[in-house]
Amino acid sequence: MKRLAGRIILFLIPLCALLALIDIASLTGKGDALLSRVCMSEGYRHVGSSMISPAIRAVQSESEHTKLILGDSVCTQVFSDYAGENDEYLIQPTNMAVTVDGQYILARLFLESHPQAEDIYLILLPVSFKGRYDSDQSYSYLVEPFGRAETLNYLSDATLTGMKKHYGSLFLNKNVIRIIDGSSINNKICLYYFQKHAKEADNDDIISDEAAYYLNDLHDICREKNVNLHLLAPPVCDSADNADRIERLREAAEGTELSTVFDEYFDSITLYPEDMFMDGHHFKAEYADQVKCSGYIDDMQAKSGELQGLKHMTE
Amino acid sequence: MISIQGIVLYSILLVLYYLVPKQWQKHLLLAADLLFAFSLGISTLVMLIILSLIVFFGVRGMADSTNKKSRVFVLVMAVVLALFGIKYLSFFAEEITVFLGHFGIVLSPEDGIKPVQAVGISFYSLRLIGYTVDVYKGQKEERDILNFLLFTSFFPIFTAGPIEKSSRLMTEVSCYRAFDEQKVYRGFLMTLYGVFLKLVVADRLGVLVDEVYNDIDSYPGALCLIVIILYSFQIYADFAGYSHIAIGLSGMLGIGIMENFRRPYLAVSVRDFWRRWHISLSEWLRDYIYIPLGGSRKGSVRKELNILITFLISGLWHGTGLNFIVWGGLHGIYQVIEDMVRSKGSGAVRKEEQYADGRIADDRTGKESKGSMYSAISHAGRILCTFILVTVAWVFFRADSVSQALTMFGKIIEGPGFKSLANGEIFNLGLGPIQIFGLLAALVIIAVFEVMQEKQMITLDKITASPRLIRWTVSYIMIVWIVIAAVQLYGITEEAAFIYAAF
Repeated sequence: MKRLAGRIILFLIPLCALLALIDIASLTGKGDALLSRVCMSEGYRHVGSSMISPAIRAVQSESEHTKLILGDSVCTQVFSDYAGENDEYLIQPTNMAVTVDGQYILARLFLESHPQAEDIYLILLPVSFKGRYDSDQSYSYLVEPFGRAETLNYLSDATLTGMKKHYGSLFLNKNVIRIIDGSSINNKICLYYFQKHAKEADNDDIISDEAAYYLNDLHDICREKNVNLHLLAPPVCDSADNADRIERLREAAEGTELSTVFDEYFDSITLYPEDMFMDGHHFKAEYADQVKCSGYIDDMQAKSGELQGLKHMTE
Repeated sequence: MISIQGIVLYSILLVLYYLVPKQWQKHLLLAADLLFAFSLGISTLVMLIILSLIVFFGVRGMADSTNKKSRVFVLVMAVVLALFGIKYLSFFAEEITVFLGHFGIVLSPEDGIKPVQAVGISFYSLRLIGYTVDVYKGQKEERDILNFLLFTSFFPIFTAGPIEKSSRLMTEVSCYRAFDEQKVYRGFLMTLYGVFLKLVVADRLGVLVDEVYNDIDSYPGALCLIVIILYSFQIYADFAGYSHIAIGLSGMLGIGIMENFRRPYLAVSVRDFWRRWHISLSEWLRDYIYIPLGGSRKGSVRKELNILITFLISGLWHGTGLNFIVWGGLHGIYQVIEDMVRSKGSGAVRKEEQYADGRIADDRTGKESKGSMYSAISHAGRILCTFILVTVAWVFFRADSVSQALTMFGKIIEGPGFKSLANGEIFNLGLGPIQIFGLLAALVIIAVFEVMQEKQMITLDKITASPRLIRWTVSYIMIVWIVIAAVQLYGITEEAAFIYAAF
């Protein structure tokens, strides 16, 4: 029996070494390019971090900006063209998959590196409040980029414990995240594995517990620092689904701590005809050029009275 | 069946199986069998136990009875009713709901007729029927419930066969097995080859085949033709893959399981094909349908009718749609025509089958065999004709309906559209050039391996007995290829179940 066990180990060592070699090769640029083609995993390298990591770096870098714009992918669609044109506004919208947890970290990082901060604009669709750390795509867009930047510790102990329970402590480790994020193969395997076990399928929350917690906490922190937190809506598709969601969101916020946070939100909503959108949320390409986006910003400014001084095409 | 959890659980079982005291080995195996059935759903486990107990006690009663004929009839009918009840309830659920509606019994979608999930029933019910009939014919009945449950629930063959004979399997599963390294390694290689067939070949082919079958109108005839051919390889790799895994897993436990596939696409006639394809089902149909119907003993017309009936029943067993009946009917008709040709011919086909089958020694020498170009061309021609006939029938098997199968043929007749192939349209079916070339390489390797096996130039035993360097290198190549194949389709397509597990 001992001889057999020895032989099994002897068989497994070269095999594991071979698989490890392939995996190490996939962490290099050239190796990854080749292996991702063989394994049909092109485009899986740095899925979320390619978008989120620059935003993390931007909010952490010291600058003269006094106002920060964060938001989801519709916010990105509308504002991203003006990111380089504003000295006052730091424009770093990202994606819904970052969840409010991720937006919270970005805001905290901005506040720490920008003592002169005056306003933080969080521009989110009504649908963007339901995401959690265990939602579909959250590993790629929340855990990986913030884990790599070692900024997950801004989240509450409850969230970190929940994350560890959901993903496993190993998958929150910075070095492990680097190995996963840096290889298309590893990222693909993890992405689908976590997607398969994501809780979004049965998550019918209008606003997740985490989102509520971090919105309230960010509101308190901003008040302490004399910074104004503005929760606004980007252009919203005029659909029955969104009408229902807005109504439910209003009911969820009413009479709770959140009502202060959502103070401006519902008045800032501008609805646009459904045929301008490709999926009920994002504008079709022909409605998303620079001129049209500038018009949407005008509408937002008029409706909310906020975002004044933001340089865009009409300025 | 192929999952990380499955590999871990099986490894634990394997170690415990050889470590537990002799008297506990069977109990451990039964526990694993029942756990496996339970993992497929509680209704699967309950159905298995109920049917097993009915047959166990029913057969014991029959053996002691003076009126065996009526008892065997009742028992076989009970199993047949359970099998068809479960298989066809889903098919007729809507009709039953409408029918009940006429009597004022209105069922909501939630309360409507719901089919009972009983995975594997198509396979173990045939084993139970075979056992009942065998005891009726004089085989000694099993008196030990433990041995009997091991026979009905043996997990490697539970979901998709092979449909082992009771006399053989019961002896195999009920004996104590001491550890035999050679057997374990042989089983490991067999399992690996089965996984290779399934993950590297069948699942990849499935991507191409599904893409075209899901939207036939969008593809040119040439692509439809290629996909029809590819499906023949897909179903072979899928089902033979499962059978190899089942034989391999059993083999590692020291339990011998019958061969279920013997290079079917090297068959020289459709009859020969059925001696090589799903051998256990062919034998079951022969022993419990064809021969009881009279076989060839009641004249040539009756013989051909019996062949047709047998294959129609085979079609019906595979599925509820008319397309399965057409598929079975086609195979029946092929064989009737072959018989007619054979009876008018010189018997060359029959001899060819016997050579291929190994039933008579290939004593052809010189001009007669290796040197005869004509013989080789004729042999290849027969293999090709058989492959074409079988492939045509597979279209009905794969299609959702007869009309979809006819649409497929219609597209080929309508116009081949070879231009689209030159434009590389095949690379737009879900697999890129690298994956398609990898797939072709795997198919070539399998084809060469099968031809060499057919000519006895290479066998699994020879590989098992080869130097360690060769054995391990073969294993490493297969494992790495399997891992890459698994990563390729991981998450992109739904986990593909074994095709035959659905029957």
